[in-house]
Amino acid sequence: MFDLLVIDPMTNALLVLHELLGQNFVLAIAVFTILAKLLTLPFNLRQQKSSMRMQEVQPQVQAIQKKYKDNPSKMQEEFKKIGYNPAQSLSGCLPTLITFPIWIGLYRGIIILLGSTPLSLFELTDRIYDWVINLFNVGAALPVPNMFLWLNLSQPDPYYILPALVFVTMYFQQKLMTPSKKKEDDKKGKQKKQDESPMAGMTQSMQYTMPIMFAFFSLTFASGLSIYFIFSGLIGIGTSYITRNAIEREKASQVGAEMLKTTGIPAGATAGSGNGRSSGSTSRSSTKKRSKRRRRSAKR
Amino acid sequence: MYTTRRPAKWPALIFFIAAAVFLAACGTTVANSSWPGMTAIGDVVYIAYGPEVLAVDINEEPEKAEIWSYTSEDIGASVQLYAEPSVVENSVVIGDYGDSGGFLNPRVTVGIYGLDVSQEQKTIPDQIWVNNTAATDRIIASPLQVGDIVYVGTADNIMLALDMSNDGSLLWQFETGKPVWSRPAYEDGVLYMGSMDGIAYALNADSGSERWNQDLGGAISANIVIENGLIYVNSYNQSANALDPGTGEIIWSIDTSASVWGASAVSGDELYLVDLNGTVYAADAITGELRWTEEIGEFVQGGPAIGDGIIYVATAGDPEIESDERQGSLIAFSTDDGEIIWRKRVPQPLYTAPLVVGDSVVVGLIEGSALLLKFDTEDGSLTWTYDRPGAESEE
Repeated sequence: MFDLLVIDPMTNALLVLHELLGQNFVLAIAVFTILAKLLTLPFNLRQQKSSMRMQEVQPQVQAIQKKYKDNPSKMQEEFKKIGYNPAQSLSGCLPTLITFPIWIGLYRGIIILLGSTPLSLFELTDRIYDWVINLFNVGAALPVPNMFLWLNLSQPDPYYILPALVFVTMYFQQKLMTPSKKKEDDKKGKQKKQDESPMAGMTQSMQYTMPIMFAFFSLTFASGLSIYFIFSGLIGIGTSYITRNAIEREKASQVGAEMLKTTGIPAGATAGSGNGRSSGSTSRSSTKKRSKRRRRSAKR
Repeated sequence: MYTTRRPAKWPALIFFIAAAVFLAACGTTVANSSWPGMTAIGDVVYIAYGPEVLAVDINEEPEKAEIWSYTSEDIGASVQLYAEPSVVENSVVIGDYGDSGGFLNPRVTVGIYGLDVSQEQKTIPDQIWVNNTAATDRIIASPLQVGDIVYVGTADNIMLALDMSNDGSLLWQFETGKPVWSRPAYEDGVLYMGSMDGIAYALNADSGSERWNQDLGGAISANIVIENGLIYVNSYNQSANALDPGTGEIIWSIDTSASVWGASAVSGDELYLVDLNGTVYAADAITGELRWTEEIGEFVQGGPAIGDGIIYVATAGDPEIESDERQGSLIAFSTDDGEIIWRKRVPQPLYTAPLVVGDSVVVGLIEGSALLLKFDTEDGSLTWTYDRPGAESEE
């Protein structure tokens, strides 16, 4: 069923792109990855925002957990004050799960199209829709060309260039997905220790282990797949950068509104407030409440 | 002041690296398997089915049928062997699917081997020569031996000429636009070959220089056939073609309903072929005029085989049925009018072209314990089953 609903359509779409883009398989992978990223962008943005927010409040969450470990109801109350919902941290993964079939389909589609044995080519022809064969005469174009620059797309890159690129792109993507806490930590030595939670440790580990893992894959997988990892990583870097900036801007505007309300001085007029980060849990929650109120009144 | 202990990152790091190694070792790489490559000389069938190449006497009891075998263990690498072996008297040439060095050396090494099978008592042939530098991608095409030279197409888009009298050293190579999966044909100093780039080439056999080429518009996986002073080349561009050997000009062309993967079977002025959708075509081999067609309605990958007034076609199952539930068939047609004489179901798809060996038709199987099945040409009854070495019989 998964083949019928996901893998076959993806494979055919890749083949059509391959035909439309001058039978350039690398270009077809690039365009399809971009299209798939665009399709999953709303889910990814939501997930990234959620993930970043969860990580931002982690120090406060831990402090509350420590302080009220014998008083669960008070702990929940405090969580509410800082806008943290434990269930939400799990539901944050949901958007990612929704995009999984798309990525698995694309991944499998590339493997099928790269099939460079008679058996795999036969399996591919079995998956191609009749209308695709008739409209684009793909039967005559098969198999897809396996050579690109120095690469045989059906074999690993013997010069280690693609595994290195996979590592670099994946590393920067992971880095951008992790909240930048260094500057903040430097200013707030106390909070630095709070941030060193198991979750933060895992996030930091992921920053290195994911790229290492995918670089290892690239040493044994067909280089066509490595190219897909690289394109996917590059697009991921772009979307992570955009998301990160969007969150920073949102926070800056919240802090600006807070300062204007309390001191009458716009946030941008105060030295050192450029990063726009709030320092305390109470002020953060009250800022949120006020901005919510403002939004409601503006709607009215 | 908070005194939270700094979490150890190393366990997580080690876990992920271990997972990466495990997944990369066991994960889905590009498929590296295929159906058996088979040929027959006399009563002996030579078959490359993955882990080894076997010579099997089909007139012997299954337990005594194996004449010799050459395995990846003999080669000393974890390679797969699927290309149809080339056998000329006591010289056998085989090629493998390549072996990657893994993490530390991702370069793929592909071997082409020259074996001597002249000593009857030996169950393992002597390896006379090996060339593991000329090809960098799978050997899917059957090699062609002509005198001391062997011509081998490779999946890295090249036709190789190797000198068997000089340890299989490279004489010349000719590059095409896509992989070479089909066996070339030789006549009068000219090598005729097809490539998956859709072009048929004629090369000077001693130098590899090109004499002519003819673009047929679709991949060529079928072995090239020379008969009646014509070159017969089938194409994925839904056509069977006869070319002039001197110029490459298309003398005639038959439009088919689907791609043609297998070679035509030619006997005198009769020509038979099957397309991927299972339509059988009988035509005049000289003029290309169609005599009859017959639709099977099942996938057919391999070409037909000609017997005495009968042609045999092996099918890979009904396209309307899920691929993992398909059954194959061996079908005998009358050469006169295409009438079906008998039809035998086989519980798995048949991808190889059948071989006519004396009064029997032999097919190779891709999975399960049985490797070879022998049917009687008269009524299609199953007369002999040869199991894969080391496999437990399903019966």
